[in-house]
Amino acid sequence: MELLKSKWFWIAAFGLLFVASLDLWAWDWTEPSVFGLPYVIIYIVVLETILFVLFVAFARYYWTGEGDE
Amino acid sequence: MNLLSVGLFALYLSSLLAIGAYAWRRSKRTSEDYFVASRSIGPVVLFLSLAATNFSAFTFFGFAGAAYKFGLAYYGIMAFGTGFMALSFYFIGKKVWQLGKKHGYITPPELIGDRFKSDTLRTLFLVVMIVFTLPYLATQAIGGGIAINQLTEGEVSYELGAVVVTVVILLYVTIGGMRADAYTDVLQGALMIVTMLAAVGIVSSGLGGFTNANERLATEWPDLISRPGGGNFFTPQIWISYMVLWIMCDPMFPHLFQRFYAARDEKSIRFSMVMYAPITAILFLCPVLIGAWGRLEFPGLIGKEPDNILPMMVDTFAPAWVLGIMLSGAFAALMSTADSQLLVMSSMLTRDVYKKWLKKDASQKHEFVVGKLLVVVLALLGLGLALTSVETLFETLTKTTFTGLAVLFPTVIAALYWKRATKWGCMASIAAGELTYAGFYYEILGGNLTYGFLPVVPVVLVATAALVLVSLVTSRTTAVKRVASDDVSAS
Repeated sequence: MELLKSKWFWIAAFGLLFVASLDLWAWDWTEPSVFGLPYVIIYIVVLETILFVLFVAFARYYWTGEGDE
Repeated sequence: MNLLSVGLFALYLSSLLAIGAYAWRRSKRTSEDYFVASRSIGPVVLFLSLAATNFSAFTFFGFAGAAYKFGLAYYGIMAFGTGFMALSFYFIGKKVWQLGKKHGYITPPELIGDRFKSDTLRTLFLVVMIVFTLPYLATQAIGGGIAINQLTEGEVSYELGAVVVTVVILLYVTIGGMRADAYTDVLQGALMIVTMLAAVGIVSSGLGGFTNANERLATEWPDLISRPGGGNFFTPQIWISYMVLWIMCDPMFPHLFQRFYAARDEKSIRFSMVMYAPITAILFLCPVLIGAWGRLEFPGLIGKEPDNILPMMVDTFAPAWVLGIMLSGAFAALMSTADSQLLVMSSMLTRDVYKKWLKKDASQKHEFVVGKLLVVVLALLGLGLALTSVETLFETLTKTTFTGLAVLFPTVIAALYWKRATKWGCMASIAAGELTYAGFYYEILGGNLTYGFLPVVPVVLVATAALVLVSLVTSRTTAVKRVASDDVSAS
């Protein structure tokens, strides 16, 4: 839990997610899969899900309190 | 003209007016209440208000048109880019809310001007925000005019349609201010989501089912399901550029910036950040899918024609009366953006021009009245722009809105986080950024200087460099002067 209160953890987590969105290792690869949706869509939905989970954890463990400036 | 369709649309407009009247009954007749709802907007309303304000007519028509041209990869750039942008609710929104509450700020330029103790910087910041927002307001009236013209199958002219949309917005914003704006956003946000999901259901059903539509697209237009997209439009540089653009531009929209002031507490902003990922993941997929599927039914659209692919697809597969409901969703998107733009521009002209330069002792009640009058003036101005179409300048400003506003990002970050930043650094940053962008836009600077990125990347780099360099030089000069002055005083 201490890790989730570290500024550097969150910079690394969101930074890695941003890098993951580039997806350079599979840039040209595409195949229809679930419901005929291509890889690029499925990949982004997965990233959005991870983003949501990160935001939830960020709001719960890091961005806490109602501090004044 | 389908009467049921028009009737449903009229019901939607009437609901907006009823919400405006409800908001008016709860208002306190002060400028703080009128412009930022007395800083009382709670989590759910703030989230839907931010989303509905952020997603304009472009979310419906523009996304579908772009997906028609470039393919499904457009979803990634828009959905993940906008979802990720919500991180700025923490590093910008939280600070803006805290400072607004502490110092009573209502407009974005107030915070910047006060932080650097500079009326010139405040005015420069104001001018940039107004210049790039007013034409955007007019485009919403244009979108409304076109949509009403389509809804009534040409029986109501484009001009009259634009007037109807403007008058309805004008009525509920004038009487209810930010409270009406935020409450109507809830209805409009919900309407956007429901109509988009329904549109996907109707269109995919008409194409033989969701999976079948996607498989047909993969077979007939394989480039549209690839990451590089149609015409290999998406390169890694373009991808990074869009990410930069959304993160730096969206929070600089004055109508989004002002919503941070209106939040009741930090919890409301936190909730909005968390919910932004799912809303963009779900909502943005709909117009992108319909746009790409459009190639299966209308394969030969050229020029600006793809921008109409969404209503064309719905019109093809849905009963006539459903089109009215679908267009209400599009109206919700454009009206929720236009009303917020109207209100924030009125607040800036009231506080940063009228109160600052013309009547310094204006009371909150006085500002409240002036703000309402300015809403009327700005709405008429936007309508005038929409009807007369002052083409060249107007189109240029509309196209350049996003990057033009992103130039303000380094100044805002410096204002919130960098103590050594100076007003000279910020003014140099804004001037250098806008001039560099003008250089790229008018092709004075070679396109090769962007190295495959969109101009926003080099433009923001130049703006940041100017801010840092000039701030360091001027803060040292100021410090030297202060020391010299102290020495003189001591001696």
